[in-house]
Amino acid sequence: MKNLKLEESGLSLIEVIISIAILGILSVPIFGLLNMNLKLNMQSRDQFIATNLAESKIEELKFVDNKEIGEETTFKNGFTISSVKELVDRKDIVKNDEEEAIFLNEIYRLLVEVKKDDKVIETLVTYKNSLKESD
Amino acid sequence: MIFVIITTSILLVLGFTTITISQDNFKMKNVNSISKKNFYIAEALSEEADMKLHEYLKKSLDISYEKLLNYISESDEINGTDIVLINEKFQEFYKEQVYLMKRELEITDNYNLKIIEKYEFLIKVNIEDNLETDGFNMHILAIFEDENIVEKIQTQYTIDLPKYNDHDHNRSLLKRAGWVNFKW
Repeated sequence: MKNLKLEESGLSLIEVIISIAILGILSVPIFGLLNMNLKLNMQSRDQFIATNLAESKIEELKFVDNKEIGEETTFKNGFTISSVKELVDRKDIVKNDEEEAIFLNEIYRLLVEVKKDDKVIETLVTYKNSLKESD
Repeated sequence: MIFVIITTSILLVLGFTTITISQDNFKMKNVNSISKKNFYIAEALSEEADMKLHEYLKKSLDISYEKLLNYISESDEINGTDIVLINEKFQEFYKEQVYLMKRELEITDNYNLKIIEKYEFLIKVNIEDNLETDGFNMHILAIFEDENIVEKIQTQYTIDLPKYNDHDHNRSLLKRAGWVNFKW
């Protein structure tokens, strides 16, 4: 009977304390990793959304003249899109027999910026050539 | 205690695995972003090359007419009324000009994106005779590289041969036959 009681003995208080201490110490980097993981996933998600928003805006800008350019649009998820269209160069091309320009070539820079919490997440730039008849 | 160590080790391994997966995911999103940036520059290049092509073709026509007039005035072989011969000669001059245009199009220093915006890129032009139409097939490849991601946009054109007595055919001679976007 006495021998049976000895075999049922559990963990000592010191063992439990040491185990909790080890668990406590090791849980710090584990939680750090989880936190980093969450941040990275959020950054990835934001980057993906921002790139897609910028892409759709720049595609839209390619086919409009000056409408809606320079305006800032804020979305429900906190993203803000701003766009700029600026004239980079203007020159006469294709001359007629009298050396007068027939066409005017204008080059515009289209810039779309996507921000979240005042931090620029995505910037896309493209250029658009337009050919107009000279006056 | 051993169980505690084993459990925390497993948790650590899992933690590192998930962080590696998240980092890879983040890198992929960045590559996607750079790739889109490069694409829009390559597209702008392709568009500028397209403009230049129209411009050079117009010039080629003008130069061919000039050369033809000089040739007629200097040559005894050709008679001003011999339409077939005049047309053949005119098309010969035009072909010469089109092949010269290839070199002009490949000079990147002429492009606004280089002059104004200082971008570094490559334009490759390939011209071959189109045996069906007697004109040309042309491929313009705009190559732009940034952060080790290369973006290539190839535009395919067909150029028909002009007739010497048709003065308003610059636009109809050139047709865009296709557009391909390469990425790696």
